[in-house]
Amino acid sequence: MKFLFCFHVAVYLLPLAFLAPASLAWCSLGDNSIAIQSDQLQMHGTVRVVTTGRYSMHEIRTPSGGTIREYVSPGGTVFAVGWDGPGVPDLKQILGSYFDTMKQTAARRRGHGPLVIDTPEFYFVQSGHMRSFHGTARLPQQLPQGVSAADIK
Amino acid sequence: MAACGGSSSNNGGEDGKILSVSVSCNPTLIQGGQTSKCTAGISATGKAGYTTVNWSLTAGSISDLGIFTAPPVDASSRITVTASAGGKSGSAVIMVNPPNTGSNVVPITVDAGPTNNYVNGAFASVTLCVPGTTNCQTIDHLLVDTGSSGVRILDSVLTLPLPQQTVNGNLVAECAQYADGAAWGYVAAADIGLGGQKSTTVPGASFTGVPVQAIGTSVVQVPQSCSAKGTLKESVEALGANGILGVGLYKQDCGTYCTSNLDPNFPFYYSCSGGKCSQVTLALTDQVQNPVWLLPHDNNGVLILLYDCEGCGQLNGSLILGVDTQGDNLLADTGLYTTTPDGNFQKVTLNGIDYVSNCGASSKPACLDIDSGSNALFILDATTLGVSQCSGSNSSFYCQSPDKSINPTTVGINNASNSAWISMGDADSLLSSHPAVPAFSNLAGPNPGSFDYGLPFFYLRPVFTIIEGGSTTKGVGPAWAY
Repeated sequence: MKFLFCFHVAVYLLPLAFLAPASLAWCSLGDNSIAIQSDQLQMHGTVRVVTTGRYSMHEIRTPSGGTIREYVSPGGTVFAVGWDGPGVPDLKQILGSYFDTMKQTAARRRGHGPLVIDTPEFYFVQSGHMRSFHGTARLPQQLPQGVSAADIK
Repeated sequence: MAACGGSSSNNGGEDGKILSVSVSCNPTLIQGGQTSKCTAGISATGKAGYTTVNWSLTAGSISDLGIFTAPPVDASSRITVTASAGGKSGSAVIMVNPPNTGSNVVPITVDAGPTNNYVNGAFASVTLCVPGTTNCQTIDHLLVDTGSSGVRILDSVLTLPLPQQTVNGNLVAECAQYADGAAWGYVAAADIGLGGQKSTTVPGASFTGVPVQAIGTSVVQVPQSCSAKGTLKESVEALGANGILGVGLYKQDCGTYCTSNLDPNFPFYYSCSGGKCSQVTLALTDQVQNPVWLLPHDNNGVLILLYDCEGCGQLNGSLILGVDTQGDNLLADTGLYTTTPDGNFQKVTLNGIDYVSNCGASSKPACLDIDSGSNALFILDATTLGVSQCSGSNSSFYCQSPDKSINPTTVGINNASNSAWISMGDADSLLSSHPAVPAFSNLAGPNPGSFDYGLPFFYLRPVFTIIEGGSTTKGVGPAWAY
């Protein structure tokens, strides 16, 4: 059983040379960055980090050019995620404890099309079809000061 | 028809000039003797827009207010309605008396489907055969889906012993992905009968028959990397149909991405042995195929016609094979809009705002498409449109009363453009009614930043889907025309 830190803890604690081009453990929506997770699905790719005064955004670019983004509050909580690529990414990994909510809502839906979930606790949208998908998810009640939905891509 | 207030003597000169004229008619699919409302839009500088337009037609009649009346005859025809002003003109095409018989015609029904609760679903039948034999099965109620490519049948519905596809001796399976879930199942080969034709071979393949997907988990268990994509559509109840008839823009469902990428973040095809599956690349010939491009003729795309609106007791429809190949599928003056390589418009403009396609990218993404497999008009968000969103179990839809109408302009990569009026209504009231024909032209819902024109867009409006590489009189696919 592997014990892996969420990657952005690794960024702060470990030399950069350790990371690129590394297999990185990925945190899930709602996780705090000091969480320790085991048997995580590893995402392969290169990382870039964008830091603003209000949050930091960690984006992994996968070998095929798809991207997955995590938005982290100053307190270390993953308050939003975003993704783009030729397929649907590992949403179980990305959404963490919110994955089941997403599945249940999708299963109850009448018909087919883009999936939108809009509740005070959890917001999710995914559009597209095979060859290109785009989606975001966020925890509206956990957006840091000064951050709006428009910041999340 | 006056585009703005003002007298008709104010028509240019030092008061500006007309830049362009466009025409939008609704509906564009009617029977002989019926009417359509046509509107002329004028783009002008100064006071030049305060003018009347001159209408001209290839048949029928039109009033000063733009009410077009089709000739009261039974023959099928395509009529062009043109408006001109200040030396500029624009036009729209109206189809009168849609064809519904012929060797390239596959009947479509819009009904509640095998689960008896589907709305805005267009269903058709296909006949599958064990390759090269007369051991066949006709499967009804496949969802006609121009947003995907490939034939998929629920394994629980399939009774034929279709040969399972293998690669290096191992079974091939696929995690087919959609915005709202995934479909897992093995790949098999079949002869596919559509209308009066059959697809039986993939050029360059080492096997007979055409790859299709059998959705289910009885032959191969779903791997974690597929169940991690979302909810699985593995049953008639989950899918709402017996399968999917993907007749979209592409020849294969995945394409070149799957011939050369083994990005573990985005798996599609798998090789399975002893119950364990791992991601593989797969040659184009071996992937699940759009059955249309493999037909002997009428194979460059499809035309979908859905006519007689809800409340009329019956919704007739046809999936017509081919574009510009027979008298029943001619583009004539219909505009054609080529798509991006990943199947989106170049942009959509609404109320002066451009939504530029960038569906699979991280900056200002917008997914802009026409998709008969989506069962509503999924447009932007409630705040941007000024409509109300439903709460409760219908939260995927808008609950707007009274209906709100908008007129977005879609633009192809070829810079050809067109606009169409669409309406958004109250899903709570629509979905709690149970009409004999569950076809709602004004069922709409949110899709932030994006436009997904689902089946309601096809009601009373001929829509062509042209496959990649398919040649027509107006351009080469991938493209839509309407």
